[in-house]
Parts: sequence; C-alpha cells; structure tokens
Amino acid sequence: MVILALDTATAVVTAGIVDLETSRTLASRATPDAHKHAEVLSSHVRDCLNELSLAFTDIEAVVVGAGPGPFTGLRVGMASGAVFANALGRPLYTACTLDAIALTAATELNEPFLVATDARRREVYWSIHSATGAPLTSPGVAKPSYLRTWLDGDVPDIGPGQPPVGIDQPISMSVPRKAVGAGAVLHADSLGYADAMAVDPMPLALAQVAAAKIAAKAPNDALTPLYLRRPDAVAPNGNKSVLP
Amino acid sequence: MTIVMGIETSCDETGVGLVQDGKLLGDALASSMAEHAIFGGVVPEIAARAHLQAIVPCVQQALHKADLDLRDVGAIAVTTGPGLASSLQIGMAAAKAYAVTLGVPLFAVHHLAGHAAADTLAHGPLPAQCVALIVSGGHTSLLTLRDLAVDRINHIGDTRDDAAGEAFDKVARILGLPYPGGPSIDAAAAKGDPHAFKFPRALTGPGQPKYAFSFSGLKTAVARTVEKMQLKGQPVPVEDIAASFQEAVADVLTSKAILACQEYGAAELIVVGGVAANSRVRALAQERCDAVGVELRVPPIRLCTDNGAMIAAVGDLLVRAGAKPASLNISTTPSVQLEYASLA
Repeated sequence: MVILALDTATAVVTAGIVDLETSRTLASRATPDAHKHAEVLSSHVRDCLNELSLAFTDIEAVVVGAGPGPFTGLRVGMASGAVFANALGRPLYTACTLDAIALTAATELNEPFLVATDARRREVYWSIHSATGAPLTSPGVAKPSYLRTWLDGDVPDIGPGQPPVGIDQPISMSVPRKAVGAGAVLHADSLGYADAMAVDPMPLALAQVAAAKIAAKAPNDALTPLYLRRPDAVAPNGNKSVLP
Repeated sequence: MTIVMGIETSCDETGVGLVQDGKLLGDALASSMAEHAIFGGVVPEIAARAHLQAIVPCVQQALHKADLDLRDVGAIAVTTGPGLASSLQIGMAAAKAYAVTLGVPLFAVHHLAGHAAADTLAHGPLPAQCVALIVSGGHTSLLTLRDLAVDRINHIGDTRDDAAGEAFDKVARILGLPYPGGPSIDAAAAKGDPHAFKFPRALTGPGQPKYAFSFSGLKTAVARTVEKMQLKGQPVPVEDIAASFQEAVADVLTSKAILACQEYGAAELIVVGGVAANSRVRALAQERCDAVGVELRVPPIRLCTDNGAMIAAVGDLLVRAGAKPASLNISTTPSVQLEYASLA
C-alpha cells in the first residue's frame, strides 16, 4: 500500500512515500528548518512523486503527524495533509509525532525510553515509551527541569501561567534510562540525559503508527492537532484611563 | 475559461470562492469572530486554530454551491499577505497542496487588491482608472488603480496609526458596546445625534497631508469625553457619542476620497473593506459623490468584508492577463505593502 506521510511538528519538515506491506521508504524529503514548513512541504511531496514516477492517484492514504509541536508549523502539515486527502479522495489518518519518533528509536534501544521534542519557550513535548516504542504515557509539555523533578519521583511545584501537562501526579513506572529526540538533545543537561540521541519523525514510522487504522479502512481521523497548550490570550478588564 | 479557486485566511475569516471570467460561481465563509468577542479583538492563535478546522469544509461547500468538482478548478489564488502570520500560513499551505495535487498554477495575491477586485464581482470590470478607498479593521488606504492585474498600484494615502475599523472596535469597547465594533456602533448611532459632540477630524486642516489618515486621536477624544462624564457621575449618552464618532470617521474618509477623485481625475470611486459596510460611510460617500458627479461603487456587504471570492477575482484577472504564477516555494509576507495585486 502506497502511503503519503507528512510531519511538520518538529523543526524538520518531512514528507515521504512509503510502502506499508514491505516496510520500505520509497522516497522521502526532509528540510531541517523551523521557519520553512509552509514553504517546502508541498514541493517535497511533488519531488517524491517525481522521483518515483508516481502519480498522485497512486497514493492510497495520507498520514500526517498530529504533533505535539509548535503550533504554526504543526498546522502547516495538518492543513496540507487534509488537503491532499481531500483532493485525492483518499482517507486521512493522524499519527502522534512522538510515537513515530519512538518507533524509529526502538530499533536502536532495547529498554524503555523518554522521547522529547523542542516545544520552544524552553520547554519540551515529551512521552515515555516501552522498548518496542509503544507509548506508556500520554504526550505532555513541561520545562525540562520540572520533568526531571517528576522523573525523580516528586511532583514539581509550578507557579502561575500555563500548567505543564502530564506531571501533576507522581510517576508510576520505572524511570527510563535513555532519551531520544531533538528536545532531549537540546536540554540534555537539565533533563539529565547526557547521551540523548537525536531522532526525527520518519515517514515510514508515521505510516506504521497509523497502520492499524489504514488496514481497517477506518473512517478519516478528526483534524485535531495535539496542541497541549491553550492560546495565551487574556480577556481585558476595563478601559485604561486617558485623562491626565 | 479557467475556473479560479480563491482562498483567504489573512485574519479571522476562512473564505473560499470560485470565479470564472469575472463571475462568482460559488463561495463559502467561516468566521471565528464569536470566539474573539470576549477578548475585544482578534486573537491570532484562536484564528489560526479555526482556519485549520474550516479550510477543507469551506472548499467543499464552495464547490457544492457552484455545482463543481475539484477537477474543474484550473488555478488556485491565495492571500499570502498582508495579514496575521499564523493565519496566512494555513491558507497558503492549503493552496499549495491543492495546486500541486490538481496540477494547476498557484497565484499569490495581495489581500488589499482582493478588496478592490471584490467590486468587479458585483459591478463588472473596473474602469481604466479609478480611486479606491480601502477601509477595514486592519487597513485604511486611498489608492489610484489602473489595470489591477498588471499595473503598479499607486498609494496616495494610508493611516498613520489605527485603521478605521480598529477605531470602531476600540470606541465600541469604551462605550460598552459588543465586538465587533462596526455593526454595534452603526446600530447605536442610528438612534443618536451625529452633531451632539464635535469630535476631531485629524489631518484635515490647511497644510496637513491631504490623503493621510489618523484615527488614534479620535478614539482618545471619545475616551476622554466618556471618562469625564463618568467622573462627574453623568450618564453617558452612548447613542449620541456613537453617532458623532461615526460621523467624524465617515466625514474624513469620504472628504479625502472625493478630493482624490478630483485631483486624479477619476470618474469612479470604489469603497471597499469591512468599514464600507457602515451605513453612514456608504450614505455620505453617495451624497458627496453625487454632489461632484463621481460614480460611487460599493460592493454588497458580504463582498465588503474578508472573503475568498475577492481573492478568486484577483486570480481570475491574473489568469486572463497571462500573469506569471507563483513558485511552489513562495513564503507568506505578513506586512507587505500593496504595490501589485500579484505577490509572485
């Protein structure tokens, strides 16, 4: 089955054509530029098809990474994925980007591990995965130091503002000794994973995360990005005085 | 003739329109306005989240209304600026994906050129030369237009601070009227006396720039009037203040537009943008155009506010003029000045 897989939830703008039956990546393109998501994604798709001499109509399903990821970039992939599926009349499925990273990382690691991507604002999107890459927690977002405190068995004391997600209850599993992802590398010190390994979301892994839905010919997934944070807007209270 | 699908996501409206040879075949609009009301203005992140949900359904609805299939679309036009950065990205990403999948050219369109082109869908082609007053929540500009598809657009005046529509929103808040301010002030003003308060007409004195606008001082004048009354414990005559404020805005906008028509020898004035939906702006523009023999063109209200049809209208003009399509790698330009309708 020929699947178009996209992800823009990290700084790497990724598109690829994969064959799920043979678990092969037929063609892929990736641009590591956090400010070029909307610029290059559609070109990447076109270039992959051209490389394979495939037509758009050869694509049987579209899989898009649903994050979590920085919002503006994340939406580029989701909007594009929705349009590709709509224009082709093919199903659209979403895959958690952290799960896709975990699936790739699990081929290298044979123990549970932490996945962390860069959430900007000196925070990470994170989740914990089993040795096979299966998620053991829901995706969360937190400052690396708070996440470390939580991994150490405490519930961190958080001030006002946007609450961190996923660390408000004590950890209920053994603490992973390994960490992967660009966020884990960027914050290796404060997370306490000196040997963190950079792993990006790959098209084949995205398709594999959605494989059960694809095989079952499930109805289209809702276009629901994993934002994890609210918009920052605050409702105004009263007018400012303009008199001297 | 090519059917052009236009996509507009520069602010809080997701708009899709289908235009062929100057005719609107179908369109669809989704707005996140209600979600912004408690904030008193558009919140970019809320707008962008709504665009993502609305974009494909709007395309489907516009096609349905036009009784067309996606395969009938021969070109895509999209607003790539100016506008809210995160909102523009949704429309551009969607437009690129449609263009590359359908194998059709992509045209990058300036949002303000779209406002000017909207009137062609209601009243036919623009004359060889005219003056356009574009007034919305984000823009207040006086332009001279020639051939919108090919000629450089001449800016003869812009606002120096707040856009006219922004002043409506801010004054509405001062008066305790709901967001968006345009319709709520219009409704309150209908029951008020437009001459009850003498609010300033900025940049209209001798020696001042003839075509520049400023609405920040007007807004502050309203705020001072209201605050003084509140301090004295007097009731605030909301309807009279709304009417007097609206009169000041309409007076400045239309007097400068008429002056421009006379100086640039334009026989037609186009008034477009969200503020062109204001009843007093429309009435006063008509009165003053009639007095000097200028023909006034104002599109119906649903084409005045942001919509996808106006972007498709520009795309249609560009296609017919043989304009160069945009690269698939084009970027959005959130603060681009209007020089040409095409941003390719």
